[in-house]
Amino acid sequence: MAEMVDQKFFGTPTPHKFKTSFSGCPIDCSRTKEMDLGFQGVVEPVWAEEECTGCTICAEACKEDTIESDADTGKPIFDPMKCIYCGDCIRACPTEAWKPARYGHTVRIGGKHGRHPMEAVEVCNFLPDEKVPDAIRLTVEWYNANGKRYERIGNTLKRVGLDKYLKHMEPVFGGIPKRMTERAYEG
Amino acid sequence: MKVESNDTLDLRGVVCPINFVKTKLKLEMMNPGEVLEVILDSGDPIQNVPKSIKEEGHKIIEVKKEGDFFRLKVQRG
Repeated sequence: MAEMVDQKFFGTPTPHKFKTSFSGCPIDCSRTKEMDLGFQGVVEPVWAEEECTGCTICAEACKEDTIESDADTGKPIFDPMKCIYCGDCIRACPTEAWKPARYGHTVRIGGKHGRHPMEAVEVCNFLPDEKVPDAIRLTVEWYNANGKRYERIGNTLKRVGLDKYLKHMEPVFGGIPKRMTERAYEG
Repeated sequence: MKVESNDTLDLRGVVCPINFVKTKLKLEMMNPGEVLEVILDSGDPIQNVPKSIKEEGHKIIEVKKEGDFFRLKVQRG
């Protein structure tokens, strides 16, 4: 991924510096929350009851208290509001009852370090691999059209409004099925 | 149906990947169909060893939590 980005986009002129990074999972080693544009890997777990033996290992593995074990059957009780899509349950399950439903990237924008650090904002979840180059291209396009010289994109978003950016990104971010978390919230 | 095990391997206090290695070697010395009882600590051991053992071709037939550790019954593939 990073290599592709380097080949396609290195040297692209922008109003000020523009840092991107890719993290494999929510441990977020490459600190996407501090990046102008960050991509962090996520996986949505799905449970197949037929394969489950009620061993409770998934509840042990989950560090987010998302999975509880039923007192009688041992089978998982899943709270979609707490899931951070790290995939620990999928890796721990010995019978493949927990499987990956889909992979993607959480996209974060507007982070920076320096004298006035800013935390990036989440703008998209489960962006598929093939949409990453367009996400970068359209973001840089918007930044070049709206950013002031020496202004990092985080500050541009504050000044111009995140909604304007999101509208511009509709062709790339639009149409992606929502995460379980958002679907649960909507009831 | 209570499953009886042919042998027991107590791996409490054993760090990864040694617990997996010992389990794998012990199973290799048993006959197909025989059952090994494995005792594993909570945390990394229980999250990693069962899956790896399954990938070796064996079957996890029972898992029981007992306080800070787990008692597994594995059927040799």
